[in-house]
Amino acid sequence: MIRIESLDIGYSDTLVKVRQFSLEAGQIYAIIAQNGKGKTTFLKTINGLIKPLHGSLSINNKDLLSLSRTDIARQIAYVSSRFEGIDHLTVFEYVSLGRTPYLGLLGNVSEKDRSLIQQILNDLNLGHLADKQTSKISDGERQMTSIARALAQNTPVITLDEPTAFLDYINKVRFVRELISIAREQKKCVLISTHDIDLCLEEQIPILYIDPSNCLKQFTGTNKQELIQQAFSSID
Amino acid sequence: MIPGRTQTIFAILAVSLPIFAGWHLVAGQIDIRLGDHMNAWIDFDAENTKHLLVREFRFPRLLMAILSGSALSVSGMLMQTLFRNPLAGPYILGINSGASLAVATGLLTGFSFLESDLGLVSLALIGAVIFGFIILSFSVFTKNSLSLLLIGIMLGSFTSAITQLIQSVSSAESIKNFMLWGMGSLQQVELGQTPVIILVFFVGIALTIFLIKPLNAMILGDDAAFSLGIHIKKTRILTIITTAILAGLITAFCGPIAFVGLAIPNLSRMLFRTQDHFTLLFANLLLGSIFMVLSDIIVQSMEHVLVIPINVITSIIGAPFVVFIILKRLA
Repeated sequence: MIRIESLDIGYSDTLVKVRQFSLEAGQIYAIIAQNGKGKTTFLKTINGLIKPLHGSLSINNKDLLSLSRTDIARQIAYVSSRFEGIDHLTVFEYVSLGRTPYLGLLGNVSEKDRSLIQQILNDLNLGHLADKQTSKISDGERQMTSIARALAQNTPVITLDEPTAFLDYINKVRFVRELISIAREQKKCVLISTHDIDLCLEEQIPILYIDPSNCLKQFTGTNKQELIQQAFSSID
Repeated sequence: MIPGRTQTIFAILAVSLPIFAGWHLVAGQIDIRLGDHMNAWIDFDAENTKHLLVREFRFPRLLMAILSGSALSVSGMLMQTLFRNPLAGPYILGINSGASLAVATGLLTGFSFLESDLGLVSLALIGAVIFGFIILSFSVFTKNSLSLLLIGIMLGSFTSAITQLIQSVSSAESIKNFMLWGMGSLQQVELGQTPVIILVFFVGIALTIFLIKPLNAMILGDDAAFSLGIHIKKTRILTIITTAILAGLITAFCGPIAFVGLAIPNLSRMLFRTQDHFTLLFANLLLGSIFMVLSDIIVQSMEHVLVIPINVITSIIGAPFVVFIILKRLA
């Protein structure tokens, strides 16, 4: 699904190095790293928001750097860490913005798009919120609508930047399980960044980490102690 | 979104506008009926004072009420989305100031090219575009909406100082012209000028149509819009140019008109409960027109007692409404 060949990532200096990597469809991955180590930068690079300093990156065998903006938007969806809601922007409108890469000049959603969006909302148990303003629903509901928007974008890859950061424990678990089932059932590749190590281990989500030498690696162990030793500088 | 509700409000507004427009045509000191208006166009008599009044004063005045209300509201909508700030507007962020400074230079220095219609419009547009890009470049440094508004107000103070400086070395006659223009008025436009104004207006609206889809995504922020396939830079530049065309055009011919561009886009969002710019574009066109036509009816109906600049009315209604928006946001 996503294939990476010796990628250097950062703004002007290399922040993260990735040797060789591939992420598969039907699977969810979690990136774990200390703050400031480049989790967000990595996600933004995969989304084409930041140009890599060096190396190649492809999604579905298409070179990301050679795709147009709209074509990238049809391959990969990005959900930023916190959506605070916007007055007068209804949940339905918000989710329908996910259709943007498929819309014509006037940005009007078709009947077909509308029923697709309603279907997505219903599947996530958000149907009753369709006409609510996004500024007037709970944090948990808002994070779910962000997934709905990403699903409306109908991309093989979905990336989410710290989507669980502002949720309470129950909502975190619910949210992550929803992502796991989306990845499995809809054969999507889902990539999240998070600090919720315990949750990822409990739910057996494959973990990627950025090691002290700034390399992105896949965690092969099983327990928390190992992961902390590998991913973080010593706590002391 | 409830389509039934949206359509009902649109229908009410679309019916109200011609009714208010008709009222506007017959309001005013001299008794002119709708029949006179009709005759002035289909059976024109150059000897008939009423016909002349209709063609040279009443009609251009109504047209300017409609166009200024629409153009300022749409440009306000564009700026509020661009800066993701419901308190943005062409007046408060200094787009008008740019146009004003350019027009002041033209009127006060009195070069003949600059005093011609085309010269005036071009100047106002150039001034508005330059100031648009100045405020846009400031917005790169500060994401804080309050700072941006303060910078806009400072731009306004700075330009009015420069304008006063130019005034101090100008002739009494050109200062009088400039003062009249600066009070804001729908009555300065002559019939002969209307084709140019209508043309520029439609250019601005046509450009806005190209911005509907990008702006819908831009309300989510730059990163989200980018990841939905939107070209951020292109959208920003086109938005500023379009805003400047619409606001600059009206400022050139009617002077700086306050609060319309700030209040009406907010009213549109509240009334239609949406952030979809397709709906909002038409909402702003209709609500902006109706607001200015009604404001000018008030001006007209008081003309036999006292002459009030249109700005007085728009500010008396607009300022409290803006305070209401601020309080509502805090709540």
